[in-house]
Amino acid sequence: MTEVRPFLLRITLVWLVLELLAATQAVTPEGERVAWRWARAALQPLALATSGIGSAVADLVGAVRDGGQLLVDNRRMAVAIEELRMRNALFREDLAALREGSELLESVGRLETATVIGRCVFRDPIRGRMEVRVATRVTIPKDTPVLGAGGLAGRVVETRGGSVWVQLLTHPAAATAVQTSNGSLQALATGTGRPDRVDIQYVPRAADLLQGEAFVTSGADGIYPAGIPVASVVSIRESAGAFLEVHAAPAVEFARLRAVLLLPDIVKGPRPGGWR
Amino acid sequence: MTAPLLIAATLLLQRLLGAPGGPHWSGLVLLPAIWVVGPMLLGGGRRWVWIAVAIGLGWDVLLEPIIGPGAIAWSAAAVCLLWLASIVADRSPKAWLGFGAVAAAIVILVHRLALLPLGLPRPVRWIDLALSVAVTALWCGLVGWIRSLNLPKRWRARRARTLR
Repeated sequence: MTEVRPFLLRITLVWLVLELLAATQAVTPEGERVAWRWARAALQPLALATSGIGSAVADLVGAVRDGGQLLVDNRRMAVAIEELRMRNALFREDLAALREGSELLESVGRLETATVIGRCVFRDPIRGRMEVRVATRVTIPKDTPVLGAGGLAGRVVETRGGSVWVQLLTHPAAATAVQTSNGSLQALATGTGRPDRVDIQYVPRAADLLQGEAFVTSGADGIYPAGIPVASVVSIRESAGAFLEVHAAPAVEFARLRAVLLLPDIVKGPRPGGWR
Repeated sequence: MTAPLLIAATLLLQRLLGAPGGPHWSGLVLLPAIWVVGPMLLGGGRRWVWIAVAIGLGWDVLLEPIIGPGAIAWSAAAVCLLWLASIVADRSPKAWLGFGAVAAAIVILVHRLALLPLGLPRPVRWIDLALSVAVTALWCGLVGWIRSLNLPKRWRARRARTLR
C-alpha cells in the first residue's frame, strides 16, 4: 500500500503535465492559447485578492486617519465647550454683579454725590484686600469709601488705571471710627485678619452694650461719612484692662461681594442727618 | 529492442487502418491495446504503465492533433488494467478479451475527458464506442487465443516427430 501511493501520485503528476502540454497546443475559438487562459484564470483571483487587500488597507488607513482627525476635532470642540461654559459662568457672575450693583444703587439713592459702581475681580478676605474694576474715567482718589451690600466694605488704598485696590475692614491695619446707632458710644473698629470678625476697641467697662448692637461709622476718622453700618456685636467679654473686649461681625459678607459702590466725592466726616 | 519495434509497427498499422477507403470498423479497432492488456495479464508490472505513456504519446503524434490526451488515456487504461489484473486470476483467452474491452472503453472515455478542459469536446457516439470496444476485445481475445495454442511448442513437437 505504501508503494501504491507514490506511484499513483507520480502518474497523476504526469497526467497533469500532459494536460498542460496539451493546453499549450490547444487554441480557443477566439484564437487564444488554452494554457494562457488557464494561467489568467488562476492569477485573476490572486490579482483580485491583492487589489481587494490593497483597497481594504487603503480604506483602513483612511479610517484611522479620519478617526484621528475626529479625535482631534472632538478634543478641540471639548475645549471650546469648556471655554464657552467658563464664559457663560463669567457672564452669569457679571449679570449677578450688575443686579447687585443696581440694588445697591437703589438702596443708597438718597446720596447727594455721584457714585461709581465697581466690579469685584479679586477678593482676598483673609488678607483683607480686594481688587475692584471701575468703568469710569474719573480717577478714584485714595481713601475713597467703598460700600458693599449691607454696609461699609473698606477704603481705596491704591489706584491703577481702571482698577483700584481696597483695604477691607478686616485688614489687620484697618481702623474705623464707629459709634452705636444712637450715638451714645464712640469706639474704634479694627481689623483682625479674620474675614468674619472685627474688634470694637475702647468700649468702657461701664458701657451699656448688648449682643447684636449695631455699630455705624461716626465720621471721626475723617475718612468715612457718618452713619454707614459697619458691624454688629457678636460677643462681649470683660478684660483685665479698662475696656471691654468686644467682637463684632462685619455688616458686609466679603466672600460674596460682587459689586461695590465707591463714593469719591462724598462729604466726609460727621453728618447731622446720618447715613439714611 | 523487439518490443519498441513491434509497438511502433502496431502504431503505424493503426494509422494505416484509419486511412480513407478502408472499412468503417477498421478505424475503430485499437491495435496498441494489446501492449497494455498483454503485459498486465503476463505480470509485466508498473513499468508498463510508463511504457503506456510512451505508446499514448506515439498515438498522439500519429493520430491526434494535440499531444497529451492520448498519453493520459493509454496510461490510465494501463493503471486500471494493472489493478484489474491484481484481482482477476483468470489468464484465459476470455480474460484477454475482457481486458481488451475494458482497455478500449477506458482509452476512449478518458481521451474524451482529457479533451474537455481544453475546450475541444468530442462527442461520444455510443454505437462507435460499443463497436470499438467489441473489435478491440476481439483483437485482444484473438491474440490471447493464439497465445494459448502455444504454437512454438507444437511446432517444435511436430519437427521432432518429422525428424524421427
